[in-house]
Amino acid sequence: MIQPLRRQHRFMITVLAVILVVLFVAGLLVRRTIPANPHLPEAVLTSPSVRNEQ
Amino acid sequence: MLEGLLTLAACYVGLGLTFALIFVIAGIQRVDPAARGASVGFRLLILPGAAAFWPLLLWRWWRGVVIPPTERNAHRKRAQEARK
Amino acid sequence: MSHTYSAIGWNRQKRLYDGVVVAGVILYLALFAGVGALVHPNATIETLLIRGLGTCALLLLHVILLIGPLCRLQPQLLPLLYNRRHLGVTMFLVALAHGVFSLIQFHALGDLSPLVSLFVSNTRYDSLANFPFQPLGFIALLILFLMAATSHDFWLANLTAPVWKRLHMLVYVAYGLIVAHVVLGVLQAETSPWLAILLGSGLLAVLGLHLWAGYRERHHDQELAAPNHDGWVDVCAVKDIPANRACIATVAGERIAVFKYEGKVSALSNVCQHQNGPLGEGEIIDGCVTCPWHGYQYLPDTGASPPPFTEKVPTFNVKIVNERVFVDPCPNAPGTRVEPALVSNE
Repeated sequence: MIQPLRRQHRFMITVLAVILVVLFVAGLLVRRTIPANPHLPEAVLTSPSVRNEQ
Repeated sequence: MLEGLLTLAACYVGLGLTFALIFVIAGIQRVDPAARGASVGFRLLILPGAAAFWPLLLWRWWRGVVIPPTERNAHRKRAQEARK
Repeated sequence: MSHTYSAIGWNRQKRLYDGVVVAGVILYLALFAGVGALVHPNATIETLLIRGLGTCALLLLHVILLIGPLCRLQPQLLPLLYNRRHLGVTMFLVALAHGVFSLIQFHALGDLSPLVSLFVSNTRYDSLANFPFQPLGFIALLILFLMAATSHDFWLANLTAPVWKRLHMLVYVAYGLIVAHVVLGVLQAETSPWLAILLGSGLLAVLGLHLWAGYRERHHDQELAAPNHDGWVDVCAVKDIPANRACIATVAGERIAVFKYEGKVSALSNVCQHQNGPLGEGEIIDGCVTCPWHGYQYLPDTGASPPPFTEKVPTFNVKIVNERVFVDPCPNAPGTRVEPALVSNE
């Protein structure tokens, strides 16, 4: 790569490192458990993803 | 607003596809001599990009550019300046 | 290295590389769908396929992004870089399948056109937990399309390598959008910690290795001191250059490669005309400087590819004084022959 591109490359990676780490942590912090519907049919209730919520 | 933008994008893609079809058959060898006698497979691979970058290729074809441009970097620029 | 384009310049290495990639993708999708159907018996095949394709593309994108810094840190891994564009096109096709299936599954059955529905069905841009993550994936897919569509050498030649590289550096924007697509999308609903752990590890690996590789070679980009020997720049000692290899330094605003071969020393621009690969990290093979990225070759004294190839790079006048190599900082026109400096004790 030529020097101006290497500079841009370093800049992009540095910006990305800050933004993505912040976004990843913020994304994990705002996670909420999905409320389960007590009237779901039995077949759906046996799904592991639904069981975990209860 | 959104539908207008999508219609505009659809027009760009439609025009691009039409141009790209003609370009890969008749134009590509005029702007790049290395494409002379190239296979159908090569032309098909170039088609999606030609549909995306059709204004650039149309401009080169229209202006009668017959060889691809040479890159510019610090060394090439300084060598060119030294020759002047 | 071709003077007439072909669709794909197949060779044994490319066939092997592509075979492994395609077999890997098929195996991954089969395993994902099979295990997914066992663990989640109520999941539909469409859901398993959408998730399988999405995670497969995400995995491939991480591999692609890791290849660059890994090759900077471990040159033995360069064969992985050789055919990286095929890996990129495969990743795009897998991501495209994920996008098309998702669009059909979630947006094709209403009154609105699927693309309009993609952008207007969720407008909670003010909420992180409910953010419309699907348009992020769509924009990333558009970037990946532009990259896949311009992956042929025709585009490198016609856009020129620096412009092509700039376009393809958009992969980092696409990566950011895709991470956001996953974090604000499936990660908000996924209760198992595994996806978060895997994505976090991938993120750390990609960003950490890029930062490390960039830090390791920052000194190469420092311009050497001003010319001090009748206008010539002192680059290195002759003995510091390994046989048939080069010493790299920054002169005249860009890196140069000073090669030692057959008792001679020649200097040329470090920037390969094909994809701007680092010529000085390659070696002299069959009398030619050979780019470590894709094997493009240049004669060390002229900077020109041997006929019928037409690539040329700028050359530099070079001399040896007291066992040190001096370079004239004014580059010669690409392809200009320069008399090599003779190494006295070899």
